[in-house]
Amino acid sequence: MSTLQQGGGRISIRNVTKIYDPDGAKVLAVDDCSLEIAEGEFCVIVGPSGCGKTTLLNALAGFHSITSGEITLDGRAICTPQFTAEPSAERIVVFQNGALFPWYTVLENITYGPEVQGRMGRREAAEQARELLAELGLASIADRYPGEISSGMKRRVEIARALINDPKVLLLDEPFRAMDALTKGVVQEFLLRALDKVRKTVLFITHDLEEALFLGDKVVVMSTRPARVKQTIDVDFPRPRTFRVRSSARYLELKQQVFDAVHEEALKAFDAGEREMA
Amino acid sequence: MSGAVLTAKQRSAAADDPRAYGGFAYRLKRTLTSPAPYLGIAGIVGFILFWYLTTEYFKLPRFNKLPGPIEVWTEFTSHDPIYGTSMYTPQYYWHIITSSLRVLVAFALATVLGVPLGLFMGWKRTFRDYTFPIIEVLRPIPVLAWVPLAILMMPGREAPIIFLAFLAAFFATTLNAMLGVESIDESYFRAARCLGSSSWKIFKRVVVPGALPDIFTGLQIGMGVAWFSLVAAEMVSGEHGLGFLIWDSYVLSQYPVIVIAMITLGIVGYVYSALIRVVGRMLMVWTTRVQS
Repeated sequence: MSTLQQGGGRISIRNVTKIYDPDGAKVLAVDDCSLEIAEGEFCVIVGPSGCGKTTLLNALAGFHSITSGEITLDGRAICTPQFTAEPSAERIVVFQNGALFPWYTVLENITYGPEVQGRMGRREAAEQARELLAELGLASIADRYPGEISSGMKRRVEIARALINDPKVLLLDEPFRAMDALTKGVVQEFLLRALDKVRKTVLFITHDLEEALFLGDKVVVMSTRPARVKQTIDVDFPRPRTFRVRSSARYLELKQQVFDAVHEEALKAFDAGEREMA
Repeated sequence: MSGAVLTAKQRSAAADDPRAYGGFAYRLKRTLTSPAPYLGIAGIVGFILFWYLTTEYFKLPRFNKLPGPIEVWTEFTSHDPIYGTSMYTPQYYWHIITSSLRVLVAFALATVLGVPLGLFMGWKRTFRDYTFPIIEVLRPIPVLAWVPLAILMMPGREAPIIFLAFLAAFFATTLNAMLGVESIDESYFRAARCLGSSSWKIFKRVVVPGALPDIFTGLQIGMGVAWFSLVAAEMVSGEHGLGFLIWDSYVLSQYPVIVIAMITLGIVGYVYSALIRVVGRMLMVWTTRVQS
């Protein structure tokens, strides 16, 4: 990869609780949640819809506060009840519905970060972006607008837009949610290939168990709201991975494990009649 | 990746694709081969025919007082017009220029003041809370109701007229710019913050381009209502201009001139709106280049 790689990215989530207070009715979204993510680890959080996974990710990104507990990045507090660090390019989010700026071309989207941070001039940023796009196999769409390319392409570009900033942490909130199975497979492999080149600490939220096992080093199963860590499953497939891991015996075994854990929670959520909360 | 070779090839392939770069010639050809322009012409012909039949051929009651298309056309193309206004008389153009200048000044003011104000209202919640209620109360007041105050407040003859045209356009440009900012998806703001944007960079690179489609809608509406109010204002207190010409001709019973001035207003207004659309399309290539 063309960018310098900075180290770090160890995340520590300690006893985090988040209480929402819409219209005076207190809602406990996350309850005493603790989670360690090592430097360069790919951590996938799965859980029923509306269990509070996104709440955790948003706190980490700096979009909102927490009620108690502490989140640190490389030992530095980034979210406590008193303080939420501003969102920054060391923790970049890839959003559920995609957030490429439609008014900029693919290339301009990629150079956005380096330019606004003042790290590079326009020319240098464009050069680096073209290099990165070529490396990721996206060179042919550099001068297109997001409206002109497919959703699978958009996701790839969005991942590239995050990677050029060399973030410590990549936060992905159900990024491949609304995709058909084939496109999804392609984009998942794209993400793995990109991360094979530059290891990043990743927090990935999904409710697709296959996706979780294929991508993650660690799958964290959350309980239904309020979110607690119910079970952590280590996924020990070697990297680089290809889609072939999906047909191994070990894969089926792990899948059964995760499925058992999630199914129980899904039933609880279903019985409680929880409204789906994106 | 096989890198540069593939890239160059694909880029030139994209340049050959007329749809991707939507050239003017291509668009013109597509328009001329579709039925739309011909249907439009047929509609106009039908309308003129109706006008002719009711006023000049059958001379229906109430319609027989109106000037018909032939009478209007004869007057308009006459070197020696009966009522002194035709395409060969300089004062016809003088009226157009006077009205145009007034509208352009009013429109420019409404853009320069209204768009930034609206953007700021959409962007900063507190500022919006201060300003929105007052604008919402002032906006429904018809422009004609402002005429006395405009004359009292503004010096001279030109200023009140321009003020009235400005006022109408101002609400349109302001509110549409505000709505434009409000329509920007929250995730773009979040993405911009993640990527390390300062507040000013967010304004420049997210708020302005994101609101641009609505800003241009506002400019088009603004241009329309500026003409509308201008003519009303000129009827009340003008010495020149197309609105004045209409009123003056009415008072002097020069009916064909009224129609000449009305059609001129329609055409000039259309041209200005079309200009705004063209500028908008040039600034927002991304809205026209979408995947088909």
